[in-house]
Amino acid sequence: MPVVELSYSRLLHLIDDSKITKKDVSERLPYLGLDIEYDDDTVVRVEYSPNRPDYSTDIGIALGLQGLLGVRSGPPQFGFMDGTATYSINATESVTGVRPIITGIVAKRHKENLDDVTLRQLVTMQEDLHAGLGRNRRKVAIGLHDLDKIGRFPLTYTTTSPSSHKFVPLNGQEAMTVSEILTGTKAGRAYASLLGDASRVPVILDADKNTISLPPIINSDMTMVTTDTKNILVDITGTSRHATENVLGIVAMTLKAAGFSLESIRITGSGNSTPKLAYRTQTVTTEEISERLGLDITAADAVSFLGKARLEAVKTPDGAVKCKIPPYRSDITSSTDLVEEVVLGYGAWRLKPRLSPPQTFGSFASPESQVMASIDKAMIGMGYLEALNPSLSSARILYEAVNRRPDMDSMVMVVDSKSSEHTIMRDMLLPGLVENLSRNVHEQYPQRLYETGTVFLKQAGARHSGPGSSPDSNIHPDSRGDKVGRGGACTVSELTNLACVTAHAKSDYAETKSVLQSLLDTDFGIKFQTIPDTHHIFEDGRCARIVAQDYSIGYAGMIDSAITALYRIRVPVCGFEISLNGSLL
Amino acid sequence: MSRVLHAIEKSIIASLQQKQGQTQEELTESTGLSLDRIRRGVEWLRLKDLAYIHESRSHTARLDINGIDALENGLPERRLLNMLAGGPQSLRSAKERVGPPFGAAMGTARKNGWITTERTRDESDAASSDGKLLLHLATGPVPERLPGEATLEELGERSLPVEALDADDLMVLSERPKFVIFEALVQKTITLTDEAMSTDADDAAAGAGGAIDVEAAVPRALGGRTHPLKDVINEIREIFVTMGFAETSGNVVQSCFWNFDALMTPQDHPSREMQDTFYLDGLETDESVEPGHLRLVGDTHSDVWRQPWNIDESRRMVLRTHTTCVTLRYLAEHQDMEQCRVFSLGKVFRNEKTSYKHLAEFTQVEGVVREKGATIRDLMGIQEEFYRRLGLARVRFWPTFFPYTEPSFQSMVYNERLGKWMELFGMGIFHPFVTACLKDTTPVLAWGGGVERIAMIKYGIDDVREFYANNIGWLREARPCQ
Repeated sequence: MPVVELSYSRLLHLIDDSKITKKDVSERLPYLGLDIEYDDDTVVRVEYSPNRPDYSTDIGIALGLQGLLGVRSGPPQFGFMDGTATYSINATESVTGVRPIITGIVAKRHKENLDDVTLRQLVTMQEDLHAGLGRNRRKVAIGLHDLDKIGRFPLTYTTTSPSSHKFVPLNGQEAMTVSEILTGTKAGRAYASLLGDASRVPVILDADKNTISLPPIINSDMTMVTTDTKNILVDITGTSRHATENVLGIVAMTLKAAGFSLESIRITGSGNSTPKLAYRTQTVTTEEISERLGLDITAADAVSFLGKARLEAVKTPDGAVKCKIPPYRSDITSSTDLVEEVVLGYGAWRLKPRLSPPQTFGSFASPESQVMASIDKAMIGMGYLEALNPSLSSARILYEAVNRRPDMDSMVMVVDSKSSEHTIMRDMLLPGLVENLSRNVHEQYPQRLYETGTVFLKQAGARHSGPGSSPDSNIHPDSRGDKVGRGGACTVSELTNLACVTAHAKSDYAETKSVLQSLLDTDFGIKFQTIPDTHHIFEDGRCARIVAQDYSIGYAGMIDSAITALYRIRVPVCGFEISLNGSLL
Repeated sequence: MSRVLHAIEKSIIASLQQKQGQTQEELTESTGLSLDRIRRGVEWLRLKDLAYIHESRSHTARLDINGIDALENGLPERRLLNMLAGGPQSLRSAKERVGPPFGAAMGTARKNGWITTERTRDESDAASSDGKLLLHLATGPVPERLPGEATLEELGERSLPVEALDADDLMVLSERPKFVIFEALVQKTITLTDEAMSTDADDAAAGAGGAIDVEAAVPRALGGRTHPLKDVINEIREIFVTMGFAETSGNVVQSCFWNFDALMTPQDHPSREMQDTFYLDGLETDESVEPGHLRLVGDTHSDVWRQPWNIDESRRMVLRTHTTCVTLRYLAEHQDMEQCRVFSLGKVFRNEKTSYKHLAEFTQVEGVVREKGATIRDLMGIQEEFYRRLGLARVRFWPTFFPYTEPSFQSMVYNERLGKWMELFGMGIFHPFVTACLKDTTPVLAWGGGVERIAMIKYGIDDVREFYANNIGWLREARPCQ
């Protein structure tokens, strides 16, 4: 979630009420839906939810706090003057297939310059809107310009040839072609992919054909906003009118609250028109509010609570509540959204938890929970410690370290993992347990570990292999009790296995077989045979396939000494792995 | 201090009662116990005031390089005397044959009167004005053993306590350069106190009826245990069941439809990108969704998010990013149940680099209540009761945002150990656009979150990776702190 850094002194200044203290502010911030990440005497850093991009600046947060602290009620005055006679942008037909939508607004400061803190907040807002609603500038991108550095209006939003069109990009030293900008600047490299391989790229030009912006990549250096800037022009380009106007609403509200006065820009061209920044209305009934909150809320209460949430609502003749939704609150699209606003205005800290007895019976998952509990009891009774390993593992642990060949047909891999340790879903538990032993060679022996867990196999058919069948182990153990994909055939089967390892100076095959015998035969009454076999993880001549009721359910044996030697485990290790599906489950 | 004696102590007492003042090495021989056990036993006896350790500093002597040379070739004066026994020799030739130690040999031999010298005139050598000094064996008796020879032999290649040697004879050697090396040795001898001397070890040990030292340190038994995180999972499972919830489970691998679309996560939402979610390489689900549900979800997406909904996108397969897909599916499959309380526990996945507070794979618990008239206050009540049963008494609820619940809250729980509020479960009422796709208007309360966070509070752990490190020492000894 995005983070914004606030200074207490500036917040108190923006809230503009001498009765409000720093303590009031820090106590109420969480109830505005802002998560405090860091808090000291002067600065507080909060995370805001992506549905409230109007909280990307201290200006927007101060508006919210004013409502919650009872300083102001209802929405800030939003009015803007008609500037369409002076300011206009015309979109040419050519942008349609490239980046079709443009909108914008002019914000004037008259006398005062922009202060440094406000400027930084505006830039943060721009970046946050790019990342969130803008979907990394793909859907929406914002350009801030010093209005007084722009030559003559009208502006034109059009396309140009990247190889020949030149201008000085923001913070650049000299004129570059668009192609050079796309490969030679940081912003160019980061966002060039948004333009695809278009032969024409979008630009905003002034009436003298000076470049103002190359959306959504970079502005021109000519119109850079600084602390000497008094008046601002905002351009917003994107792929959808709905999205660009939502962003425009937030930008306009923030500039207005920051002390600018707003003037509209005339927007023309195919699919484009002058933004209206219109209010919508949304209705909610008191029944819906009361039913969701478990409170008895009257229409008058709701109107007052919505006011505290900086919204303006009225009672309707039929007792419902009609609310005006400002253009910067595009997150409000349904009556339920208004219920949430009522809670905010009511004060979430005032909501009293209520507990009524259930009229349902509780139950454990059956039979999994009981069987797993029995296995846990049996294994800990035999002195085994339970290990938990991640199911998303790596080629190193699953294959390389234990001398197994990856089977591309059954291996389940994820795409673009951030870590090479999390790339393949495990198909066996034993490799993880052997790796665990290698990290514990300094601990007292004997060491006994077991794990029950899910293993994953990619399969087209309904039948599946047991644990760790590899294509060159010659035998594909089979089992019954298929649990492929709840509610239908799925291409990945998820099976539950049990594995254990025993490591000490005298561990041998007989020990692991006796554990298996105690578990299967004594605890579950399952007879089994151990048939000589081979498996990559086990030593030749000390490996058995476990067969119960005519089905192969797994393998037991001594872990290959070459594997333990590579892991620097100095004692012999024995172990087994069985599939529980079809045997115990 | 216990007067009960360990078997080792008894053996040592018995041996010392026979012979006081033994070294640890001597005790090893006399008792047949290992040196390590003797050391431990002696220390126990010392702490019980039954024995004391006397430290004595002694010196040993052994031969240095000149001493070893003398051992092999005889003392220089012995070599001189042997030579003269064959007849008188001139000084010059004697000097040549004895070599560098000749001066010392001469000095000793003359001082002891073993040789005499004679100055002669050699007529044939007119050039020599000094004449010649001739050495004779003295007529008096030359001792069988020269001073120092006895010590030389006794030491040989050994190292012996100085006290064991004749001091005068040793001095003959030690005065000479590089003949003898002295070394200091600290020797510990163990002696019983009078009390211990007079006790009958077996009897004293027995106390009344063969008692043993119940206070003695013992090795830790290495038992089997379930994993601490599993214990927390089971505790949570039991709390849910006792609060009337039925457990349900589902697959880890899910289609985008169940993981995202059915919960109304927009198809271009950042959380659906590969940098946040694990997609399975080249896999598409081949399961089908009930057509009515599928159509409703698609239409609602287009309506609410104002962008076309792509069915192919919904077929891609992911490692589930939450367990809500499991509970939601349960609700979809049990639409006839007017009232239900269900929970699900299982692994969820996020494409994140692991750190002390983030794992790529962790355990989530998820609960839902579908009940007529269920409100946000009931949801809070269930949370409070759940945390109370877990032993977490101080709970607050902060408003927040989740894409598929509204209103949404997160529960904050006070961590006594860290002295701060910690974020635990997220919660809310399913947004009507989610339940509408199930053709249902009954409110559904939903909440959930990471189990590891709770286990961290319970076990006082600050690095979440600890739970999957399988450190055997920790698995053997970890215990809850809260």
